Amino acid sequence: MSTMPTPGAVPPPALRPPADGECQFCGSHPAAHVSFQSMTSIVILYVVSAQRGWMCRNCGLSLYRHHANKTMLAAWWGVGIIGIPIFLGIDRLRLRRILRLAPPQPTPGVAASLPAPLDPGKPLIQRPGAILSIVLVTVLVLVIGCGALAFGASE
Amino acid sequence: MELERNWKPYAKGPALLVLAVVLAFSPEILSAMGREFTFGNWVGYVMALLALIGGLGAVRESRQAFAVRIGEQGINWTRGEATVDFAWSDVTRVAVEKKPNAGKLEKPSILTVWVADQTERALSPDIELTGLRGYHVADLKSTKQSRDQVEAALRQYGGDRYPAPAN
Repeated sequence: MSTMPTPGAVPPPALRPPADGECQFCGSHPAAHVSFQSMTSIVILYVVSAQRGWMCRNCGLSLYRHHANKTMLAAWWGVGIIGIPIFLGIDRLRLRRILRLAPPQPTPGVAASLPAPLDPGKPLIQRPGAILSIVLVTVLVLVIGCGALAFGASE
Repeated sequence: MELERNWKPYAKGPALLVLAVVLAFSPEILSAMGREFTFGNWVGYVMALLALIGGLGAVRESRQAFAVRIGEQGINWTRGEATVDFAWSDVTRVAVEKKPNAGKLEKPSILTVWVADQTERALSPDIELTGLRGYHVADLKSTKQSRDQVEAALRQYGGDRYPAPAN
Protein backbone atom coordinates (compact mmCIF):
# COMPACT_ATOMS: atom_id res chain seq x y z
CA MET A 1 0.00 0.00 0.00
CA SER A 2 1.41 3.36 -1.01
CA THR A 3 1.83 6.09 1.61
CA MET A 4 2.59 8.72 -0.99
CA PRO A 5 0.14 11.62 -1.07
CA THR A 6 -2.32 11.65 -3.94
CA PRO A 7 -1.00 13.89 -6.73
CA GLY A 8 -2.90 17.14 -6.75
CA ALA A 9 -4.36 16.59 -3.28
CA VAL A 10 -4.53 19.83 -1.29
CA PRO A 11 -3.13 19.48 2.26
CA PRO A 12 -5.48 20.63 5.02
CA PRO A 13 -4.80 24.23 6.11
CA ALA A 14 -2.68 24.63 9.23
CA LEU A 15 -4.75 25.46 12.30
CA ARG A 16 -4.57 29.01 13.62
CA PRO A 17 -6.13 30.82 16.58
CA PRO A 18 -9.09 33.17 15.94
CA ALA A 19 -8.05 36.48 14.37
CA ASP A 20 -9.73 39.89 14.49
CA GLY A 21 -13.23 39.60 13.08
CA GLU A 22 -13.60 36.00 14.33
CA CYS A 23 -15.22 34.96 17.59
CA GLN A 24 -12.59 34.40 20.28
CA PHE A 25 -14.68 31.62 21.85
CA CYS A 26 -15.89 29.55 18.89
CA GLY A 27 -13.90 30.95 15.95
CA SER A 28 -17.03 31.71 13.91
CA HIS A 29 -17.58 34.80 11.79
CA PRO A 30 -18.84 37.49 11.60
CA ALA A 31 -17.90 38.92 14.99
CA ALA A 32 -17.80 42.33 16.63
CA HIS A 33 -15.41 43.67 19.27
CA VAL A 34 -17.48 44.31 22.38
CA SER A 35 -17.11 44.52 26.15
CA PHE A 36 -19.65 43.39 28.72
CA GLN A 37 -19.38 44.25 32.41
CA SER A 38 -21.02 43.10 35.61
CA MET A 39 -20.75 44.19 39.20
CA THR A 40 -20.75 42.48 42.57
CA SER A 41 -21.23 44.62 45.65
CA ILE A 42 -21.02 43.93 49.38
CA VAL A 43 -21.59 46.84 51.81
CA ILE A 44 -18.89 49.41 50.85
CA LEU A 45 -16.98 47.16 48.46
CA TYR A 46 -17.69 46.49 44.81
CA VAL A 47 -15.94 44.45 42.14
CA VAL A 48 -16.41 45.05 38.42
CA SER A 49 -15.66 42.15 36.10
CA ALA A 50 -15.41 42.66 32.36
CA GLN A 51 -15.09 40.46 29.31
CA ARG A 52 -13.75 42.07 26.14
CA GLY A 53 -13.00 40.73 22.71
CA TRP A 54 -14.38 39.60 19.39
CA MET A 55 -17.69 37.78 19.76
CA CYS A 56 -20.16 36.28 17.31
CA ARG A 57 -23.90 36.83 17.68
CA ASN A 58 -24.59 33.74 19.82
CA CYS A 59 -21.55 33.99 22.11
CA GLY A 60 -22.08 37.76 22.55
CA LEU A 61 -25.77 37.34 23.41
CA SER A 62 -24.93 34.54 25.85
CA LEU A 63 -22.28 36.66 27.60
CA TYR A 64 -24.55 39.72 27.71
CA ARG A 65 -27.25 37.67 29.45
CA HIS A 66 -24.70 36.16 31.84
CA HIS A 67 -23.29 39.55 32.87
CA ALA A 68 -26.67 41.31 33.11
CA ASN A 69 -28.04 38.46 35.24
CA LYS A 70 -24.96 38.59 37.48
CA THR A 71 -25.32 42.36 37.99
CA MET A 72 -29.02 42.00 38.87
CA LEU A 73 -28.23 39.23 41.35
CA ALA A 74 -25.07 40.53 43.01
CA ALA A 75 -25.09 44.34 42.89
CA TRP A 76 -28.03 44.91 45.26
CA TRP A 77 -26.11 44.19 48.44
CA GLY A 78 -23.98 47.33 48.79
CA VAL A 79 -22.97 50.63 47.25
CA GLY A 80 -23.12 49.00 43.83
CA ILE A 81 -26.89 49.42 43.86
CA ILE A 82 -26.32 52.88 42.38
CA GLY A 83 -24.53 51.34 39.40
CA ILE A 84 -27.18 48.74 38.47
CA PRO A 85 -29.09 50.87 35.91
CA ILE A 86 -25.83 52.28 34.50
CA PHE A 87 -24.23 48.85 33.96
CA LEU A 88 -27.42 47.36 32.54
CA GLY A 89 -27.93 50.33 30.22
CA ILE A 90 -24.37 50.39 28.90
CA ASP A 91 -24.30 46.61 28.34
CA ARG A 92 -27.66 46.84 26.52
CA LEU A 93 -26.29 49.58 24.25
CA ARG A 94 -23.24 47.44 23.46
CA LEU A 95 -25.47 44.47 22.69
CA ARG A 96 -26.88 46.36 19.68
CA ARG A 97 -23.61 45.76 17.81
CA ILE A 98 -23.92 42.03 18.46
CA LEU A 99 -27.57 41.84 17.41
CA ARG A 100 -26.75 43.52 14.09
CA LEU A 101 -24.47 40.59 13.17
CA ALA A 102 -25.54 37.74 10.87
CA PRO A 103 -25.82 34.24 12.42
CA PRO A 104 -22.38 32.71 13.09
CA GLN A 105 -20.69 30.60 10.43
CA PRO A 106 -17.74 28.31 11.24
CA THR A 107 -14.38 29.48 9.87
CA PRO A 108 -12.29 26.66 8.32
CA GLY A 109 -8.80 26.27 9.76
CA VAL A 110 -9.52 28.16 12.98
CA ALA A 111 -8.90 26.41 16.30
CA ALA A 112 -11.13 27.69 19.09
CA SER A 113 -11.78 26.86 22.71
CA LEU A 114 -15.41 25.91 21.94
CA PRO A 115 -16.49 23.52 19.18
CA ALA A 116 -19.66 25.55 18.46
CA PRO A 117 -21.11 28.96 19.37
CA LEU A 118 -22.46 29.28 22.92
CA ASP A 119 -26.15 28.68 23.50
CA PRO A 120 -27.67 32.10 24.33
CA GLY A 121 -29.83 30.36 26.95
CA LYS A 122 -32.96 31.68 28.62
CA PRO A 123 -34.09 35.27 27.93
CA LEU A 124 -32.96 37.71 30.61
CA ILE A 125 -36.45 38.16 32.03
CA GLN A 126 -36.63 34.44 32.89
CA ARG A 127 -33.35 34.41 34.81
CA PRO A 128 -33.03 34.59 38.62
CA GLY A 129 -31.43 38.06 38.53
CA ALA A 130 -34.36 39.62 36.69
CA ILE A 131 -36.91 37.91 38.96
CA LEU A 132 -35.05 39.05 42.09
CA SER A 133 -34.76 42.59 40.73
CA ILE A 134 -38.49 42.78 39.92
CA VAL A 135 -39.32 41.61 43.45
CA LEU A 136 -36.87 44.06 45.09
CA VAL A 137 -38.00 47.03 42.97
CA THR A 138 -41.66 46.19 43.71
CA VAL A 139 -40.96 46.03 47.44
CA LEU A 140 -39.01 49.32 47.30
CA VAL A 141 -41.79 51.07 45.37
CA LEU A 142 -44.42 49.76 47.82
CA VAL A 143 -42.39 50.82 50.87
CA ILE A 144 -41.74 54.29 49.44
CA GLY A 145 -45.35 54.62 48.28
CA CYS A 146 -46.80 53.52 51.64
CA GLY A 147 -44.36 55.81 53.44
CA ALA A 148 -45.36 58.75 51.28
CA LEU A 149 -49.07 58.03 51.84
CA ALA A 150 -48.57 57.71 55.60
CA PHE A 151 -46.56 60.95 55.64
CA GLY A 152 -49.31 62.73 53.61
CA ALA A 153 -52.07 61.44 55.94
CA SER A 154 -50.25 62.58 59.08
CA GLU A 155 -49.95 66.19 57.84
CA MET B 1 18.47 37.01 19.01
CA GLU B 2 18.18 36.95 22.79
CA LEU B 3 15.47 38.76 24.76
CA GLU B 4 16.37 40.33 28.10
CA ARG B 5 14.20 41.96 30.73
CA ASN B 6 14.20 45.76 30.89
CA TRP B 7 14.04 47.76 34.14
CA LYS B 8 10.26 47.61 34.56
CA PRO B 9 9.92 44.12 36.11
CA TYR B 10 12.78 44.92 38.51
CA ALA B 11 11.25 48.24 39.61
CA LYS B 12 7.70 46.97 40.13
CA GLY B 13 8.40 44.90 43.27
CA PRO B 14 10.37 47.53 45.23
CA ALA B 15 7.85 50.22 44.22
CA LEU B 16 4.99 48.12 45.62
CA LEU B 17 6.95 47.40 48.83
CA VAL B 18 7.56 51.14 49.35
CA LEU B 19 3.85 51.74 48.74
CA ALA B 20 3.05 49.03 51.34
CA VAL B 21 5.18 50.82 53.96
CA VAL B 22 3.54 54.17 53.17
CA LEU B 23 0.08 52.59 53.40
CA ALA B 24 0.95 50.87 56.69
CA PHE B 25 1.69 54.29 58.18
CA SER B 26 -1.11 56.03 56.27
CA PRO B 27 -3.34 56.53 59.38
CA GLU B 28 -0.48 58.40 61.11
CA ILE B 29 0.36 60.34 57.93
CA LEU B 30 -3.28 61.35 57.46
CA SER B 31 -3.57 62.23 61.15
CA ALA B 32 -0.53 64.56 60.84
CA MET B 33 -2.35 66.23 57.92
CA GLY B 34 -5.47 66.62 60.06
CA ARG B 35 -7.42 63.99 58.12
CA GLU B 36 -8.55 60.39 58.62
CA PHE B 37 -10.02 57.45 56.71
CA THR B 38 -13.82 57.79 56.46
CA PHE B 39 -14.38 54.08 57.12
CA GLY B 40 -11.60 53.65 59.71
CA ASN B 41 -7.86 52.94 59.80
CA TRP B 42 -8.35 49.30 58.77
CA VAL B 43 -8.74 50.49 55.14
CA GLY B 44 -5.07 51.59 55.15
CA TYR B 45 -3.88 48.34 56.72
CA VAL B 46 -5.83 46.18 54.24
CA MET B 47 -4.40 48.18 51.31
CA ALA B 48 -0.90 47.86 52.82
CA LEU B 49 -1.32 44.08 53.06
CA LEU B 50 -2.44 43.86 49.41
CA ALA B 51 0.54 46.00 48.30
CA LEU B 52 2.89 43.82 50.38
CA ILE B 53 1.56 40.61 48.77
CA GLY B 54 1.80 42.14 45.30
CA GLY B 55 5.30 43.50 45.97
CA LEU B 56 6.64 40.19 47.28
CA GLY B 57 5.13 38.41 44.26
CA ALA B 58 6.71 40.91 41.86
CA VAL B 59 10.14 40.63 43.55
CA ARG B 60 9.95 36.82 43.40
CA GLU B 61 8.95 36.98 39.71
CA SER B 62 11.80 39.36 38.84
CA ARG B 63 14.38 37.10 40.57
CA GLN B 64 13.36 34.09 38.47
CA ALA B 65 15.56 33.25 35.53
CA PHE B 66 14.20 34.49 32.22
CA ALA B 67 15.63 33.98 28.76
CA VAL B 68 14.21 33.74 25.26
CA ARG B 69 16.42 32.95 22.28
CA ILE B 70 15.10 33.13 18.73
CA GLY B 71 17.42 31.38 16.29
CA GLU B 72 17.73 29.11 13.31
CA GLN B 73 16.79 26.00 15.31
CA GLY B 74 13.72 27.48 16.93
CA ILE B 75 12.76 29.31 20.09
CA ASN B 76 14.43 28.45 23.39
CA TRP B 77 12.50 29.67 26.43
CA THR B 78 13.65 29.61 30.07
CA ARG B 79 11.40 30.65 32.94
CA GLY B 80 12.51 29.89 36.47
CA GLU B 81 14.02 26.41 36.55
CA ALA B 82 12.21 25.18 33.46
CA THR B 83 13.45 25.39 29.87
CA VAL B 84 11.40 24.61 26.79
CA ASP B 85 12.75 24.23 23.25
CA PHE B 86 10.31 24.90 20.43
CA ALA B 87 11.89 23.55 17.23
CA TRP B 88 10.60 25.39 14.15
CA SER B 89 9.26 22.07 12.85
CA ASP B 90 6.95 21.88 15.89
CA VAL B 91 5.78 25.48 15.74
CA THR B 92 2.54 26.07 13.83
CA ARG B 93 2.57 29.81 14.31
CA VAL B 94 4.39 32.47 16.27
CA ALA B 95 2.89 35.91 16.75
CA VAL B 96 2.91 39.06 18.83
CA GLU B 97 -0.62 39.18 20.23
CA LYS B 98 -2.75 41.23 22.56
CA LYS B 99 -3.17 40.21 26.18
CA PRO B 100 -6.29 38.13 26.83
CA ASN B 101 -9.30 40.37 27.62
CA ALA B 102 -7.43 43.40 26.22
CA GLY B 103 -9.27 46.46 24.95
CA LYS B 104 -9.55 47.23 21.24
CA LEU B 105 -6.99 50.06 21.41
CA GLU B 106 -4.31 48.08 23.31
CA LYS B 107 -1.21 47.29 21.23
CA PRO B 108 -0.15 43.62 20.85
CA SER B 109 2.81 42.84 23.11
CA ILE B 110 2.70 39.15 24.05
CA LEU B 111 5.07 36.91 22.11
CA THR B 112 3.00 33.74 21.69
CA VAL B 113 4.17 30.41 20.31
CA TRP B 114 1.48 28.08 18.96
CA VAL B 115 2.07 24.34 18.60
CA ALA B 116 -0.29 21.71 17.23
CA ASP B 117 1.22 18.68 18.99
CA GLN B 118 0.06 17.42 22.39
CA THR B 119 3.59 16.89 23.79
CA GLU B 120 3.89 17.63 27.52
CA ARG B 121 6.52 20.32 28.04
CA ALA B 122 8.25 21.60 31.16
CA LEU B 123 5.94 24.63 31.21
CA SER B 124 2.18 24.38 30.81
CA PRO B 125 0.41 26.18 27.96
CA ASP B 126 -1.36 29.47 28.64
CA ILE B 127 -4.10 28.87 26.07
CA GLU B 128 -5.61 25.55 25.01
CA LEU B 129 -7.73 25.51 21.87
CA THR B 130 -9.07 22.49 20.00
CA GLY B 131 -5.91 21.12 18.37
CA LEU B 132 -3.69 24.08 19.24
CA ARG B 133 -1.74 25.14 22.34
CA GLY B 134 -0.44 28.63 22.95
CA TYR B 135 2.52 29.60 25.16
CA HIS B 136 2.93 33.22 26.29
CA VAL B 137 6.70 33.36 26.07
CA ALA B 138 7.37 37.05 26.79
CA ASP B 139 5.69 40.39 27.25
CA LEU B 140 7.58 42.74 24.92
CA LYS B 141 6.68 45.71 27.15
CA SER B 142 9.08 44.20 29.70
CA THR B 143 12.01 43.45 27.40
CA LYS B 144 14.97 45.58 26.31
CA GLN B 145 14.40 44.56 22.69
CA SER B 146 11.65 46.44 20.88
CA ARG B 147 8.68 44.86 19.15
CA ASP B 148 10.19 45.79 15.76
CA GLN B 149 13.44 43.98 16.56
CA VAL B 150 11.59 40.85 17.70
CA GLU B 151 9.35 40.90 14.63
CA ALA B 152 12.40 41.19 12.37
CA ALA B 153 13.94 38.11 14.04
CA LEU B 154 10.68 36.17 13.72
CA ARG B 155 10.43 37.08 10.03
CA GLN B 156 14.05 36.02 9.52
CA TYR B 157 13.90 32.67 11.31
CA GLY B 158 10.20 31.80 11.49
CA GLY B 159 9.37 32.28 7.82
CA ASP B 160 5.68 31.72 7.11
CA ARG B 161 5.04 30.74 10.73
CA TYR B 162 5.10 34.43 11.52
CA PRO B 163 2.01 36.04 9.95
CA ALA B 164 1.93 39.71 8.97
CA PRO B 165 0.74 41.69 12.01
CA ALA B 166 -2.82 42.97 11.82
CA ASN B 167 -1.98 46.24 13.63
